[in-house]
Amino acid sequence: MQRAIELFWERFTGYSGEVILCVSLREAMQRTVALTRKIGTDTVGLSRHVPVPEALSNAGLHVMHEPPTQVDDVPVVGITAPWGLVAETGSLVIHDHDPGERLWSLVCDVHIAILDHPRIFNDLDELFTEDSAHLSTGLCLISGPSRTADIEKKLVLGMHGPRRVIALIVGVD
Amino acid sequence: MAEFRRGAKNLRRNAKTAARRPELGAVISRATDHAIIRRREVMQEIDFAAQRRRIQQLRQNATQNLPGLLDRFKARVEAKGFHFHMAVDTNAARRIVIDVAKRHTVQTVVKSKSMLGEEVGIREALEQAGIQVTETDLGEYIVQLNHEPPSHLTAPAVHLSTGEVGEILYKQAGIGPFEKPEQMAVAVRQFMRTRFFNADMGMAGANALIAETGAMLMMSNEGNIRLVTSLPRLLVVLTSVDKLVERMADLAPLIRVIPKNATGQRITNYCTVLSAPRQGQEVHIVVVNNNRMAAAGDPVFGQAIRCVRCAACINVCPVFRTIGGHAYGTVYVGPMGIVLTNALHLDPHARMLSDACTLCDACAQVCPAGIDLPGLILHIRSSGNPRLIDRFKAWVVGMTYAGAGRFKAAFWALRLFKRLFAAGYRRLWRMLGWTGRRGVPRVAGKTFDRMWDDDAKGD
Ligand code: SF4
Repeated sequence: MQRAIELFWERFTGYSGEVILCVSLREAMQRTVALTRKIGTDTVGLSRHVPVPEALSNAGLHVMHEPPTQVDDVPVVGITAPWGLVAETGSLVIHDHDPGERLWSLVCDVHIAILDHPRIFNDLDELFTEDSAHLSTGLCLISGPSRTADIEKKLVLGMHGPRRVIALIVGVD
Repeated sequence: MAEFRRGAKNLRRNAKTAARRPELGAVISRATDHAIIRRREVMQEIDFAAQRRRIQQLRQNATQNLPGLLDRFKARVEAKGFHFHMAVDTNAARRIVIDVAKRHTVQTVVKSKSMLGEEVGIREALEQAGIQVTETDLGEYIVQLNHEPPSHLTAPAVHLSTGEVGEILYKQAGIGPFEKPEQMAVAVRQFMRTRFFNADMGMAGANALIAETGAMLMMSNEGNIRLVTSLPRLLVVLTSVDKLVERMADLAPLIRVIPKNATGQRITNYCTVLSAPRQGQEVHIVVVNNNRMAAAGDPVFGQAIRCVRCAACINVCPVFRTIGGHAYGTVYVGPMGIVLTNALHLDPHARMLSDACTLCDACAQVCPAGIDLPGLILHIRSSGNPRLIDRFKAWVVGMTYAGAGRFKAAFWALRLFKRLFAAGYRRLWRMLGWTGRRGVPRVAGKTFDRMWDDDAKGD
């Protein structure tokens, strides 16, 4: 497992994603609050899959649960709880059929992903031979911030999706 | 694009136009060199030969069993609540999409990049029906503003410099003026957000259709496909029958290899497996045939249907790198474009595209589906009715290379001819059409054999 996490770390950060290992869920939530404040906002979009959501509201953050329907309603930070990661490609595995998981990982400038004891797949073959409900309802692999190189191959982060993706991983030490 | 004419029959004329613009080749080479170098680096992480065998096998299984897989896919998606439509050809595809749009009184569409969309001209058809269509992929949006088709499978605006893009965004959309790609991308993101949220209909393609589960794979770096498929309440997935694969497990080598081969990226940023309609959304899947089923059963062209549209063959093609995509005059360009345009009968003069090949074999080396592109191009070239001058050239070459004696005699005669008639020698090459854009080949004073012998004696 150690090797898989190291590989995930190397590849996810190689694509400009950020990784923070946390010893407990409590630490992950504290760090989420601190990151949100540092970004300069107190409103977050929150997927219903994120554990202990009250940790955020208790810390004084304004929490939106319903995904936005208007462009002006999009907060700067969206928080999701991916259920797995793939070491080979440095990818978060999102439960894409859930509107909260999908939209909060997509429409905000910053996507914070809280992975509490995630399923760890060494490679894509392991993932796609998995007999899981997630495979039958849909998934999305996210490997860092959205990007484009359509103008003379110059890389620009944050094309249509988040400019920053921060993965807080609990329970993999 | 105004300088380039549509239609394969304009290849020669277009190639001359491209050759008059050396800066075009420079921009394309810069962009494709980048992809080639990155590809080489990232391929070291995997066993390409083994992955190629897997992809070739799974694509071969699929193309040999398209009707069966299609039936399974249709049954699965309908059971999940998707609306399934089969379109036999371009006209049927346009009709189905416009019917769906009209039934929902659609006025605005956000669309993601799709070569099939280009093949059936879906944007133009929707626009003719009075519907506003916004291309959401940055490169595709730029070429939409510039009223031209994409010039490359994965990099639609590869033929444009940063300065040209800045000018197009400013003049055509009032965005900018900006000099840097970062500024342009940020401004387009802001402008496009409103369109995503307000669109009546989303329109996307698919990279693979999985018969086993009735799911669809969609890959994008920018995130536009996720927005297109998530925000509007009505979604049309316009895809083609050759995207079918049998199992979920088939996705692993495709997701692993396509981005590495295309741009040298380890993985495309967002790989979505869409397995069921989303809450409150109506999804129509339009599967286009356009001769694919027939081509899949063709003993020669069947292998072309294995193509996974990675564009690696285009990046390495010396002809594409010199003349760019628009010169082909067709939707699909480069080696795969030559083969697919012929296999699917997409242009009445498709055979002429086979001239745009040096048979260098670079494309075959990188193709993850194991398609013998040079072999197919040679086959296309040898079919049909070549021009008299081309037949004469082929006869001369055939005679010259028929044996060592003839070869030596031909070059002896050529050397003599050059010595006696220097001006005529140059005219001869020009007449053969080989020196319009390059120098006259020098005939060595001695044959290679003689040089070798002389060297050996010198030792
Ligand atoms: S022919 Fe091969 S290399 Fe070219 S786009 Fe298709 S799969 Fe890729």
